[in-house]
Amino acid sequence: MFKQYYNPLCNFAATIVHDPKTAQDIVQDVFTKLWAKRDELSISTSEKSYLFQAVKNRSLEILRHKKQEEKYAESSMAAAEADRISVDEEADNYLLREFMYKSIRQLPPKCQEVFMMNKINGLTYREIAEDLDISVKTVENQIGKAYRILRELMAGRLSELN
Amino acid sequence: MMAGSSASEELSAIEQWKQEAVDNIQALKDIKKIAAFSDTLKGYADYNEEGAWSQMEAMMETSVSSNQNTIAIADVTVQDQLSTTSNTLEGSTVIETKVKPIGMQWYSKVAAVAVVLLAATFAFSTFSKTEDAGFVVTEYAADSREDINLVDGSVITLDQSARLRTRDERAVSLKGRAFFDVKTDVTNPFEVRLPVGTIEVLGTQFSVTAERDLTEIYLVEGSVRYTLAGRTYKLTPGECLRVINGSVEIAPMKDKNYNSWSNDKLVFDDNTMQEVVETLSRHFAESIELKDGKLFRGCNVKTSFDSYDLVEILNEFVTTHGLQYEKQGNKYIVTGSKC
Repeated sequence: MFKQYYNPLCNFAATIVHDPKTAQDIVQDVFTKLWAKRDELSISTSEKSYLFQAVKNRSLEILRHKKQEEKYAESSMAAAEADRISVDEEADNYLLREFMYKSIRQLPPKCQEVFMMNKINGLTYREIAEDLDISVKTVENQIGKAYRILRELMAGRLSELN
Repeated sequence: MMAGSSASEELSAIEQWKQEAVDNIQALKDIKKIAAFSDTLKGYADYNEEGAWSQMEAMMETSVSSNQNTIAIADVTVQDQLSTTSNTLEGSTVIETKVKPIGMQWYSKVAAVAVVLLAATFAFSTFSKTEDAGFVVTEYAADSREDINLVDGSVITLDQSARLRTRDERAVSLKGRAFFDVKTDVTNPFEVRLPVGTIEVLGTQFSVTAERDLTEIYLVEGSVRYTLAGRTYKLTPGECLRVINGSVEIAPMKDKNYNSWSNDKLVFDDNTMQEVVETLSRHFAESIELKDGKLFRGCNVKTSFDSYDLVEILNEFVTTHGLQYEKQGNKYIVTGSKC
């Protein structure tokens, strides 16, 4: 359970608190609490919903304490509290992201590097081309190749993509 | 005949082409979805799951023994009430107001109740959310040195990577290194819970390094009491208490720069150059070496620095002691002096 949920939960918390270290602490605390109360806790919902909800609550709580100090907290909290989508949907999205991320890690090295730079680090094709000293055309080709391979790697879960 | 065959070949070619077109359209749709979803991955990171898991394992292993520790603390608190009517931890104070002492037997009962209450409070405020506890439980994880100002006027300086959790106005949990300047309140002692043991404070300045395998408490002024496994130790100013593998030692603190990390003050009082270099290495987390220790015999240092950086200090020694040094890669090498 820990292995399956740890990374997606950290990423989820990080989008709320904007700090990877705090995110890790939050997730660790939630698991610790779950373990400490394993005998008394009867989780009525699924463990997935429980974990994501607990991480969200804890993240918001920490943001509330930071609110006075840090400007972004307010807008970030408003966004997270607005609940445009349910925690369950959020959870599924993060688990799918985790799956896609793992799939990306299986791409051939060059292809993976280019794809990560574009999608994870948010660099444009031109910036990647300049960084790696290759042509923009090559970047486009690598991204195209990544999509084709990802389509195969993710074949079983394509229906979950909207 | 030729025409017929060609027509059926043509037909199957068209079928094949149509099928391919359908496949291609499907592929295009899939790729569009993948592209759209992959755009939501911005900033997605790989967290250190293995490290987190090993921490969890450590926690699960030790949680049994830490419960025993809690019980021991509760025990000692109740005994303390008996003999000294001194200050108590949360949990047992509640009982004090409700039950009047009638004799020894009563105390053993209270001890049992206090154990349960305290154990409950422990699990509760360590792990649960703010609104449950009725007090704003705040958790601090310092990325760099940080001063925490508490409501009661006490100031806690957290060292890098120390973690502090406020439990109520006069109680915190600490893991890592911190310097405490606690506001005096005789009626309401301050409590610091460590991974190993608990400190009870009236009003004082002291520093704590609290890890699972090492506990160090250095008292600068005032008085503190440290409790571990049912035994209480009292510290007087200038003393340092060390717990290694469950055994407690108290000794005078010889290192005047023990707290330099928290106040940036370095004091050298007739120290050898070797000691000075060791202190500087530790304080600045830099590698500094003496090329040849013998060169510096009789070259003792008596001075102090307040908020200097390393190069400023070395240059000061260049002036006062004719020190010579060079930087080789990440290392500072002290090559000689004129004393």
